[in-house]
Amino acid sequence: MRRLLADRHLQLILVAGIALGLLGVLLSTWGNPEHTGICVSCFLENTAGALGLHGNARLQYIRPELPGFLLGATVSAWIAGEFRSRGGAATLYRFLAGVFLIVGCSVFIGCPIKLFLRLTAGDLSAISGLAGLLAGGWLAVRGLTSGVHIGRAAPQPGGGGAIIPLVFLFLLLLLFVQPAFLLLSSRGSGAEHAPLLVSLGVGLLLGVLAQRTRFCITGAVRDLFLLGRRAPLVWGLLAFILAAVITHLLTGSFRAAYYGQPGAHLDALWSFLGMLLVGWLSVLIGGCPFRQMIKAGEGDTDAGMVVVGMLVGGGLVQSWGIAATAAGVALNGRVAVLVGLGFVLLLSLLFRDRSA
Amino acid sequence: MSRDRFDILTIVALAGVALLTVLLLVSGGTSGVRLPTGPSQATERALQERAQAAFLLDTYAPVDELLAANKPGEALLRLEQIERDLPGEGHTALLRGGILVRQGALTEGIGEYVRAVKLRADYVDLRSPLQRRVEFEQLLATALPQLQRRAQENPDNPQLSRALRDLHYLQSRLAGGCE
Repeated sequence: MRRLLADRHLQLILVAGIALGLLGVLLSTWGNPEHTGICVSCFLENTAGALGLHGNARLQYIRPELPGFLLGATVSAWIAGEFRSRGGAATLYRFLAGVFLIVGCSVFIGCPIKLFLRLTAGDLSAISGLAGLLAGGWLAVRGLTSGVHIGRAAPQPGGGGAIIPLVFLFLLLLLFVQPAFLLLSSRGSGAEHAPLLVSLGVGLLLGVLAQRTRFCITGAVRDLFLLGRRAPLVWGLLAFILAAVITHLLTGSFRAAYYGQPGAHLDALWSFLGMLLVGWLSVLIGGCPFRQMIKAGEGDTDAGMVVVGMLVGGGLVQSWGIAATAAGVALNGRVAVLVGLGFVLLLSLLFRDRSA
Repeated sequence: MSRDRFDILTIVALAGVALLTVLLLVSGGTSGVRLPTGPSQATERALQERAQAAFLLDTYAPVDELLAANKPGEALLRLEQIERDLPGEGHTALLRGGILVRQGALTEGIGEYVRAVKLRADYVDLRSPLQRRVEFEQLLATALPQLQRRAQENPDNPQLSRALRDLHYLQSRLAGGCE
C-alpha cells in the first residue's frame, strides 16, 4: 500500500480524482444545475440544443466545460508530445456507440460522473444506476476476456486528429461571439450555468489532469474487475467519491433521500438498464463519455467519432422523446435502451476474435 | 519536404480563401446579397414567452376574479368553459388544482398540479412570470407529512399512493436538476 502511494502516477490520479469531486460539486454551487456540476451527457444535450439539433428550449447552451475538457487534453497532449492522429478502428460502429451512450445516460439522467455526483449528494435513487454501471462493466470484461475487441487505432496521415479539437474551439468561439443563430435558453436548466470563464477554466484544468492520468470512471470499473485494488484508477475513483461527499457536506448540498431528488426519477429498472448499457459500451470502446472527450482531444479520431455520435445522440434523445424526466422513462426511452443493448450484443458477436 | 508548383499554388489559393473569409466577416458582407435580418432568436423567444404569459393571464383573468370574490364553484365552471376552447392547457390544470386543494380535495388537487407542471414547466421555473414555486412549496410542507402518515395507515389505498408519488414528483421538480 505504501509502495502504491509512493507511485507518482498514482499521486497524480488521486489529485485528478479530488479535483473532479471538488469542482464537480462546486460548479453547481457556482450556477450549474443541482447535482449537475459536471455531466458530459447533459452538457452534450445542451450543446446540441444550442446548435439547433433539438427544440427543447429549456436545454440549450454551449457548456464551456466541454471545449475546456477537450482543449485542455489537446494542450496537455501536445506539450507532452503525445498528440498523435490515430484511428480507423470500427469508425461508424463507434459513431453509433456514441449515440447509444447518450441514450443510456439520458434514460438514467446523467453520465457516469453525474451518477457519482448524485450518489455522493445522497440521491439514493441513483443506486440502481450504480448497480447497472457495475453490471455493464462486468459483462464487458467478460466479453474482453472472451476475445471481444473493437479494434486498435492506427496512425493516420493528414492530421485528422486536429479536426475535433478545432470543432470544439469553434464552439467556444460561438459561445463568446453569440451569433443570432445560436439558441440559448432563458429558462430551465439550460439557463442555469456557472460564469463562462469559471466553467472554461475548470474544464481546461480537468482536461489537462484527465489527459495526464487517463482518468476514466468506467476504466476504474473495468480495472476493479481485472486488477482489484492494485489498479490506480480505482483509487482515483475513490478519491473522487470522497472529495465529492466532503464538498457536498461542506456546501450543504447533501440530502440523503430516495424521493424528491433533483433531476432524478424512480424507475429503478430503467435506471439500471440505462447505466448497464453505458457501462458495457464504455468498457468495450475504451472509455466513458468523459474519457472519449479527452481521447478525442489527444488526436484519437475513433474517440472523435464517438464524440460526434454523442452530440447527434444529444439531439435525438430530446427530439424523439427518449430522455427521461422526473416523471419517469417514456416508452421511446425504454425501446431505445433495448435497441442499444441489442447493438452491444451485436458488437460482441461481430468483433470477437475466436482464434484465441 | 520539397514543394512543387502544385503545392505552392494550392497554398496560395488556401491563403487567399482564408483572407477573403476574414475580410467578408470583418466587413459584415456589405458587398454580397444580404438576407433580410429579422429579430434574433433570443428576441423572438422573449417575445413569444411574454406573449404567452400575457395571453394566459388575460384568458384566465375571469377565473381569478371569481376566486377573489370567493366563488370557487363558479370558477370551476368557468375553467371548464375555457378548457373546451383550449384543451390540454396547463393553466387550467394549475388553477383547478389550487381550487381543489383549497376545497379539501387534496389528492385530486395534487394530481391537477402535477398535470400542470408536466404540461408547462414554467410553473416551477424561478425565471418565469408564471412560476408558482411558493404555492407548491407550501403544498409540500403541509400535504407531504399528512399524506405520508395516511399512506402508512392505508397501504392498500392506490389513490393515496398515487398522490404521494405525485408529490414526490413535484418535490423533485422544485429541487431543480438537469432535464
